This record gives sequence, C-alpha cells and structure tokens, in this order.
Amino acid sequence: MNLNFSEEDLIFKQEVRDFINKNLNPNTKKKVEEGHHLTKEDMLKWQNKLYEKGWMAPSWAKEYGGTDWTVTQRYIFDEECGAASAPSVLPFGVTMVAPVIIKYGTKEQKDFYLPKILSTEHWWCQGYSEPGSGSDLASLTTKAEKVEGGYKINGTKTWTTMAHYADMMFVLVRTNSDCKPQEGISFMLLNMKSSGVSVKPIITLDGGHEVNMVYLEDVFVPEENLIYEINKGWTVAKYLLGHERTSNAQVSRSKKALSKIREIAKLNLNGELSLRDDARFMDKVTKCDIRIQALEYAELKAISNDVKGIPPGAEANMIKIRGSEIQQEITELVLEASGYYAYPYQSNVMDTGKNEPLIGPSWSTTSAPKYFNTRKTTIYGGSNEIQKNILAKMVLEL
Amino acid sequence: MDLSFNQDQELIKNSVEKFITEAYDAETRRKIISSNKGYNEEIWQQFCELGWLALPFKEEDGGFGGDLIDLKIIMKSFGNGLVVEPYMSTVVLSGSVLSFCPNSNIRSQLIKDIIEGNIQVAFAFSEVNSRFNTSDVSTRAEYKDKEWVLNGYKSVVFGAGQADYILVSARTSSDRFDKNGISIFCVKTDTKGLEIQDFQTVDGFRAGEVVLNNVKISEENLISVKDEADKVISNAILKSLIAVNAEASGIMEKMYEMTLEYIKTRKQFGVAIGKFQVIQHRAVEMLILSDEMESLSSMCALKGYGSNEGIKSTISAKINIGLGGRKLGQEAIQLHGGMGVTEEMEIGQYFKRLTMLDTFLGNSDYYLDIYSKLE
Repeated sequence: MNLNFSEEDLIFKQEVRDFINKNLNPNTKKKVEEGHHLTKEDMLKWQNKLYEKGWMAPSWAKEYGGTDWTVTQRYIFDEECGAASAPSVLPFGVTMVAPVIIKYGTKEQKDFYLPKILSTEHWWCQGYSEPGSGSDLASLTTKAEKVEGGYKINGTKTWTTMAHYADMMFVLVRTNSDCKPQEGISFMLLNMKSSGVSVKPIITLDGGHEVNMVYLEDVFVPEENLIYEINKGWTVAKYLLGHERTSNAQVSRSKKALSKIREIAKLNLNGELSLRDDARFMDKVTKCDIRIQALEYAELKAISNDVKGIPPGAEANMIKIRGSEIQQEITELVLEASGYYAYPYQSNVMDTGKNEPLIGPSWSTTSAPKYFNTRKTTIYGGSNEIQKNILAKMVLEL
Repeated sequence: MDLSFNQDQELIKNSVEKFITEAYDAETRRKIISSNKGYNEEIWQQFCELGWLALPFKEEDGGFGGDLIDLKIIMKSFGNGLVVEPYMSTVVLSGSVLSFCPNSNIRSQLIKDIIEGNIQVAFAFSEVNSRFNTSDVSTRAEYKDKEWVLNGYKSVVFGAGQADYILVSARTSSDRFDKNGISIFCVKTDTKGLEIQDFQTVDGFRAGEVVLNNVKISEENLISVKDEADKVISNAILKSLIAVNAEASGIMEKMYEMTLEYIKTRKQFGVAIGKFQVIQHRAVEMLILSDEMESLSSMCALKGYGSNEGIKSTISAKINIGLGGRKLGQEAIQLHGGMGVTEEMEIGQYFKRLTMLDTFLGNSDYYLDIYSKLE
C-alpha cells in the first residue's frame, strides 16, 4: 500500500494538465467554476475533445474503447479535471448504461451502442422513477406488452435528467404483474425519437430546467432492445446502481469547490476582518474538508477494487450518502459567504452565465439557486434513507 | 404571568388569518411576484384599512400604538401565508428608523403617509463590503451651500425599487467602521443623481442596488441627529429582528404542517410514508423545531429590545433561524422527496424565504459572535 506517484504518473499528470489547458473552452470552464448550467453544446464540445483523445471512458475495458489506466491514473485524471473545472462527462451513457451493456449486452448491442456512447452520437437519459414510484422503485407500473417484433410501452417516467436533449433512454418497464414486483421488471433501450414519446419540463427551485416528465404512449421498442432476459431487469438495475453511486462521490469537484471557498474567504467580505479570520466560518470549512478526505480514501478504495474487477458493495451506498451531504454542505458555505449578495435572483444566470450585468461578485450570483437545487443530491439516485435501509439490511443484517 | 392572547390580540390574529385564507392564495402571490411592482396596490390599501400599517406606530405619531406582541402576531401570520408585500421594508424596518428619529416635519409627514398607505419607504444601510456591520459606512454626505450632497453605493436595499423614499445611512464625520459620525438622510427616489437597479430576490421580494452620485438634498432631509444615527439604526434593526423571528416561526409552523400532510398522503411500499418510524421521528423533530422557534419568537416579543435580557432574547431567536430553521427547512424538502425541489410545490417557496431570513439583517454566525460578547 502506498500513495506515491511514480515517475510515469507524474508524466501522465502533466499530459492530462496540458490536454485540459489546450482543449477546455474558457467560457465552459468559467460556467463550471461558478455553477451555471451547461448547454448541450458546451458539453458536446468537451466530450468530443475527450473522445478524440481516447479519454472518454476511463473505466471501460480497453477492448471497448476504455483506457486501461491504473487506479493512480484514474485518480490523477479525476483530480485534474476537477481542479481545472472541466465539465463532468454526462453519466447516463458512459458510467451508467455502458457498464450494463458491457456486462449483459449481446455482441450486436455492444457493437452498436458502445461506439455511439463514446462519440456522444447518442445522448442518453434514465427512465427509472415514476410519479408513484420513487424510493419504492420496484413498484413501477410503466407497462411493456409483447407485440410482434417487440414491445408496446405505456406509462410515465419522471425526474428524467436531460431527457429534453436525449436520443436514447434506458428504461425499466413492467413485463409481469403476477409475481413479486422485482421479478416482473425488464430493462430496455428506448429511442426517444419514437412516436408516442413526449417530454415535459419540470422547473426546479433554482428556476432551472434539467429534469423532465416523459410520457410514453404506445411506444414501440424492438425485441433487440431488451437487455439481458425478460423479467430480469431488477438484476440489471441493481448492477447499474452500484456504478451510479460510486460515481456520485464528486470528490475532486468538492475539493476544488472548497479551495474556492477558502479563496473567497480571503476577500474582504466582512468589514474590518475577512471571513478567513472568522473561526466560526473557517471551522465549518475545515470540518467539511475532513469529511472530504475520508470520502476521498473511500473512493480510491472503490476505484482500486474496480480496476481489480471487484464490484462495488456497501461502500457504494456509504459513498453516496456522504458524497451527497458534502455537496450540500459546500453550497451552504458559499451561501453564507455571499451575505446579502445571495439575494438577487438573476433569471437566466444559471443557464447562460453571462448576458446580463451581474449584481454582486460573480461567484455569489448562483449561491442561493445552487443551495436550493443541491437539496436534490440526498434525494436522487436512491434517497439517503433508502441507502441506509440497504446498508441496515445487507451489511448490518438487521 | 399570562401567556395567552388578550381580546384585541385575538382580533388582530383572526383578521390577518382571515385575509390570508380569503385573499392571499399561492396563485395570487405568484402573480404578485412576477408583476412589475412586486406588490399589489389594492392589497396594500386593504392593509391600510385593516389598520396594519398604523399598528406599530405610536399614538402620538398617528399610529395605533401596538406593542411587539401585536407585531409578532401579524408577522407570524405573514410567514404562514408567505406574504411578499413590502411590509417588512416599509412599515417594520423604515417605520422603526423613522420612529426612533427625533421629531421633524419630514418625519411626521412620512409616518402619516406610510400609515395612510400613500408611500413605500426603503432603508439603505448595507454596502458592498459591509456584510452585516451597519457601522461600516463609506457613503458620504457633505454639507455645501446649505445643501447635503450624498455620494456612495448602497447594496441590496430591500424594497428600493418599490420605494418613493429611501432612508440612507451616510457618513457625516469620522471614518469607515466608526460607530460615530453616521447620519440618516431621507431621499426621494426621483431625486437627480439617485439611481436604483431594481431586482427580484430569490425569495420573491424586491431589492435594489442604490447609487448616489452627487445627490443634492435640502437641509431638513437630515432626519437623525447629525453623527448620532448609530443607536437609531441598531434599535430599528433589533425591533425588526423581532418581526423577522415571528415571520420565521410562521413559516416553520406552516412547513411542518405541509410536511405532515405530505407524509400522510404520499404512499410508497404500499403505505403512507408517515408509517415508517424513521419518517415519524423526523416529523416529530420538525414539530419540536417549529415549537422552539415559536417559543423563542414569543419570548423576545415579550421582553422587547430595550434591556440586555431583551436583546439576548431577540438575538437568540434570530440565531435559531439559522440553526433550527435551517434544519427544519432541509428536512421538509427531504421528506417531500423530488417534489420538494420543484418550483411548483409550495414547500419550496417557503423553504427559500426561510433560508434567506437567516441572512436578513445578519446571519446566525454574526449574532453568535455578538451574543458571545454580551455580559
């Protein structure tokens, strides 16, 4: 066990740094740094650069277009991307549906979808939650009926992030109602351009549009878009959730955000003293830092296991709980640092990051919307209450 | 000792509650927020007719001479109904500043006009880097040719864009940070050299950046004793804190009730989620948090801000908005799940206001520091 970087690691680190400097659009960087929403175009630009370099999917096996990086290299890459405020790669393709296709897909499915995920030719979204099925996901009622050559799907999905941009959705559907709920679910790939698909925005507390309702009316999904076996969707979903939860840790981004808070605190925000001199505030920053350090080690362990092919277990749930809490804590600290400049509501500011004259320092313009919006992290991806239920049952055996 | 309301107080309580129920539903409020002015003139006239604009002013100033309990009752109900009319900025904050200023024609006229519902007034006390310290004043007023000339920048002035008059704290002597040497001036918003950049606040109110560029006003617009406004400002803020505390307690009570209703109706795993013990305990915790805020808010309204005890009590309740209030707000959203973070649900609107009330007039860290230094 050691934490040292080898000579090669240091060379790699410089390579990553140079790559980011050369390819990250300054405007995109600024948006990420200040917490504005990115446009589809912003994200595509960055993902295309990663794709050209072959760095789109570090966690995949080399044969599918992954990198075969060591744990250290993956750590370095995340760290550098976070520190430079590069956009996160949209998770729905690369870190969510792709591992599923790699593990459960047929050769045809792999050959067809994986390259399109790498190149972002397909933009993915996730069709899990329904209005009546959130924490109790297994109770979902979106129905797939067998028809000639495939399935006919009817139902409503909700909280579908980026569905308004998406080409494809991986979706959980009910294929059997006369059994335990978990045993009648199937995992399918649905083309968002199919007839019968309609997307309606859900506006969140920050005034932004990231999530949607997706209505499915007699949508046809061909037979070959079923993943694994019929009624085995729950097994697939559980496999995917393990991946989703570890990728929720956002350690390097939280570290970067915290260092930004330290910089902000140095500014003369507090009359005669700066916030940097305010022990009350700085103690909160330090306590958050301590939690990040613990999370960082936990994430490294998970990546280390992943490289060895050991699937994530209980640590995925623990990482999800703490990672989401830390992200919220950070937004609280920025909100507090902003003082009265948290007040101005600057519509569009979350989306454009420019256009309007800003009121107050630019880092504070998103502080309140970010705080409101980030309440979602302890709710999505399986609420933290559900994570605790899983841990109590699976690990504590209670 | 008697902690129940008297008959008059019951009357006030009933009249505000009746107004909220009958005339101030969520849709009405949303329309008001997105309107140009950010408040509703007819509703303001109703406030006037119901006597709420006169309530906190002394009888000798033409008011009803209501006490802090009366103010608490109104503000708690405003919290309950999430009222966004500029009552806090015009009547509570600016009204208190005027009340504490010495008698003058301008003072009498402004108070009369507020009571009659003719004007809105904003109090401009904060500056770009002043944070919550009201003695950190760099805006300057100079006396030249029998006029006062004001130069400076006031930031996030609540109600500025809605106001007919702005009360500006400015330095007439001494340097930035000094408690001495601050005076208050009354500036009509159409005065040359005064510019207001009006904006909506994240909690549905209005505020503005106020630029003073060689604003010339006549002598009588100095409404405080020259150089000695510090006490006026700190008393006005303390009195306003009692109103803020009451508003927060009304919001917290409502958020608790809405959350309780939600967990009784939202079904997962075949039952209402309120059947789960983990949810029950958290809802009970919310009840306690809401009750604590109500206790602290009532206590400070009873003790007032005139004694050390009263100041401590007022500050304690304000600190609790950032502690218990934040906790309750976050729990309310969490228990609403995804619905809690949608713009459409009412719970989120309350959450935003409660969150921002921690910052309003000084956040919990600021008052923890002050409290720790009190005898």
